[in-house]
Amino acid sequence: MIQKMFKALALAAVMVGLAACSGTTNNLSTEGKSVGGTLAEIFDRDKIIVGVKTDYAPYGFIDQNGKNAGLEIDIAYYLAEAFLGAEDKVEFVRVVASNRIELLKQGKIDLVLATMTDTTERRQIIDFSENYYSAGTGLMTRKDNDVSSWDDLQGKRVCGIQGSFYNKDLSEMGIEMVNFPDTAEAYIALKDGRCIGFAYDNTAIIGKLLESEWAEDWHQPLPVILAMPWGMGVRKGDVELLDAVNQAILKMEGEGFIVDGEQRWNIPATAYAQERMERAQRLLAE
Amino acid sequence: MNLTLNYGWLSDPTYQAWIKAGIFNTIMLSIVCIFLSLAIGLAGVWLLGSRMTWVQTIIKGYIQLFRNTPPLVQLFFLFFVLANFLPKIYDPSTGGERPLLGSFASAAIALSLFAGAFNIEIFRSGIDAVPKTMVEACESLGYSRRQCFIQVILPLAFRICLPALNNNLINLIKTTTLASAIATPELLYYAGQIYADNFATLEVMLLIWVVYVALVGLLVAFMHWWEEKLRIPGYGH
Repeated sequence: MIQKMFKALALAAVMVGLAACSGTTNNLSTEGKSVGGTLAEIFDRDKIIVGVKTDYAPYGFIDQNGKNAGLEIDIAYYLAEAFLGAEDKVEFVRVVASNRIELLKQGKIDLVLATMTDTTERRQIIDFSENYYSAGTGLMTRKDNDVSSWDDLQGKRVCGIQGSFYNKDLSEMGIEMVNFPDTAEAYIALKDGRCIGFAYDNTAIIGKLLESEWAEDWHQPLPVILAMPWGMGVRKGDVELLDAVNQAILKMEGEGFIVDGEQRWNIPATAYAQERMERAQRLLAE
Repeated sequence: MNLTLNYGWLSDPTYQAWIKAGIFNTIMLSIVCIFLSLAIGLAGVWLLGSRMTWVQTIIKGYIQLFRNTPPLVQLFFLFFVLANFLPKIYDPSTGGERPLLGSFASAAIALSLFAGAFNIEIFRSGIDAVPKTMVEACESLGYSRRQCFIQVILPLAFRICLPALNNNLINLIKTTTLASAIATPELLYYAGQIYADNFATLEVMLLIWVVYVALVGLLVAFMHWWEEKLRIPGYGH
């Protein structure tokens, strides 16, 4: 009886293994469309198709008039101007974190410009442009809470999102993480007083704090930690487009476009944008 | 086929602590829910036999409500909605007030009510299967309703409904994984974080399988032993 059970279990395990393997090979073999000629295609079409976020104010969202708006949307306009001479020669495609790389691989979009963190895992599948922004982990908490450093949170309950890469780091700092499946639940729990603060992408908290419901009593007092750079994504091996995008980014940074953009969108000025601007100006002067 | 399993993350002290805490919390939640749901089942089936029809109506209403709605919805309702109608308590760690019921308590209550509704019906099926003549016999011997229920009906009914009860309790243990949705730090809650960090989905899943097979296996072994122990030769099987 026991032996039979083990056999059945082993068989089931092998089947799961098989399924997992075929999953990965599939991923590797879907090459999408031909790579390399995207820049020429953009010129032919006289339009660049960019995958952007629509739910990530103030970086990529839909404004009151129903149009795409935000800092990244401005960057997309800038690229259209740089490539095709007019900033309206851009088409926006709404993407979310789980489909942006797939849409790029399938050729439905030319470029991903959607708050995407540049990671080595992703670099195995697509190519990344120069980093143009950086986001890290911030803490959203009530203004009357006396929190002035991350060390103040030791032994305290802090809300988070399940699966976030920084949960382990924060736990190891002695913070008792209370992680929810999604932001909706985390914000309710935060309001209900189930945790002292909410550890999340500082850029998303910036957007949340612009909402009237949160603006008055909540703030983001702590320095951003575990910062990771954002990059634009192009299909692997799409060298011409990548070069063109990188040149545009350098020019854009040199002109202080990101630094101004932060101001325009009420984003607290970041040292990262300032440093990138100075670096770009130095490089351009050489 | 090239199947390499990466269990390197098991040597990380943080992950070890998480897995231990996860297994502990899963076991605690299961034990609490099993006992609470059994108590609810017994109390409920006793009240179902009450002569007051309004008591019966309330119990029937409760069964309908909790048997016909998804347990995840019940969890969310208790945790996010009902919590605001209950008194709040001072929380020294945040310096503010927090809801009375934390995630573990919410999960324990919601899942016990969910499984309890099924347990009432399971016990009722057992009681209905006790021959009417037994009840008549104890009535004619002058037993009160409570004496008859506890000393005659229940011991027989319990033996009859054990296999069905077994099923429901097994399901209950597996349903405790839903508590991760309200941030109860049980096994799946930590496991999800570990495979998100390491991309070792298959390896972590296999670990979860092993733990649950073992946990449920323990319960089943105990229930079978108990069933055997309670067997009355010549009665039933």
